[in-house]
Amino acid sequence: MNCKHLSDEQIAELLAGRNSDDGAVLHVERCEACRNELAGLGAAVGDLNFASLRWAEQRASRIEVPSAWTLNWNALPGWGATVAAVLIFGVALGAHMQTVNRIEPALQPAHTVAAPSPDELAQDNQLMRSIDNELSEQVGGQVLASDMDTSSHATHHRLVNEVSN
Amino acid sequence: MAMATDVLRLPSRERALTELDDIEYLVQTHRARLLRFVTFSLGDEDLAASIVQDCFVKAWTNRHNFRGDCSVQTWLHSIALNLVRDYQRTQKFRFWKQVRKTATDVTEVAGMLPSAASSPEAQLLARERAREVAEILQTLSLNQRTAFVLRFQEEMDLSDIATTMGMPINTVKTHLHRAVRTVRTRMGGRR
Repeated sequence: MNCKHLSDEQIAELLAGRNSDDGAVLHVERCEACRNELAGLGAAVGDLNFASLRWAEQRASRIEVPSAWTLNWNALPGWGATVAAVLIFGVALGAHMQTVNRIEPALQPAHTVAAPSPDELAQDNQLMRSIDNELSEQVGGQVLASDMDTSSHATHHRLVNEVSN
Repeated sequence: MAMATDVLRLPSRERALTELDDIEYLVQTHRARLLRFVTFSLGDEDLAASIVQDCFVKAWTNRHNFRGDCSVQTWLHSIALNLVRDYQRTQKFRFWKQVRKTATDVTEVAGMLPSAASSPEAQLLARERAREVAEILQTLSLNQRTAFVLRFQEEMDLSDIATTMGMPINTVKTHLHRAVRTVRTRMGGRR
């Protein structure tokens, strides 16, 4: 048969069950090759549809109804979710810091130096002043090293003379 | 199902909103078809299940944005397709696609054909035909595959497919006809 066979567009329409193109329908009635091709494609697509739907119905049970929590969380607007996240983070951080503060005193050393009272400070200052005075008096009455050397030399000479005599 | 008969009495948008409000009804009614659609789109059943779950959450969360100018089924498919597109853009998907080349074989669905209705030879032929089409679909581009699946599996009209894919009808037709040409050629029918 010398004729123009079905185009992709016509095959697509006929496969989808649309018979609006009378020319295409007429051609299928006359042309065995196109009729066979259409029947083959139709059967293949139909088989795949049937099998894939059965397959999907078996597997679909794994898709559960989303929980109320999931739905509500996703229903929050963008800024709402951000605020909620910041709040949750803040609360968690606060709880963490409280725990750390509660633990820290136990980690501190048992012996700590208490701050001195004003009386103790006054006593200390007085003690320091008296020490200063003592020291300055001692320095004032101390013999200079050079003097000491001279006197020791003189004493040495005197002793030598006495022995030699 | 009492809900179904009550819902049918309402005008279309109100009916759709009522349907969308009831998440359990929504999931039970549409999950199988959505799972099939997304599995064919991605070729990964686990990922498809996760995306379908997200799709229901998104649909329920944004149900007040539903204008009622298409069916709930079309609207759900458009959400699912957007999620598929988003996921396909990620590095993670490209990585897993390379690693898990043989992880999910959608041609396995051919094994679900009924076994009691016809002779063993006819069953074998039917399975082989279905497997062949499933294999060819996996070689198509996402747009061509989506157009083909929506047209011949979900039985949507071209305007609904255009809404789902977010494309003009003529672009949808181009993708669909290219897909049909590839299937015809690979099945040995096109001269």
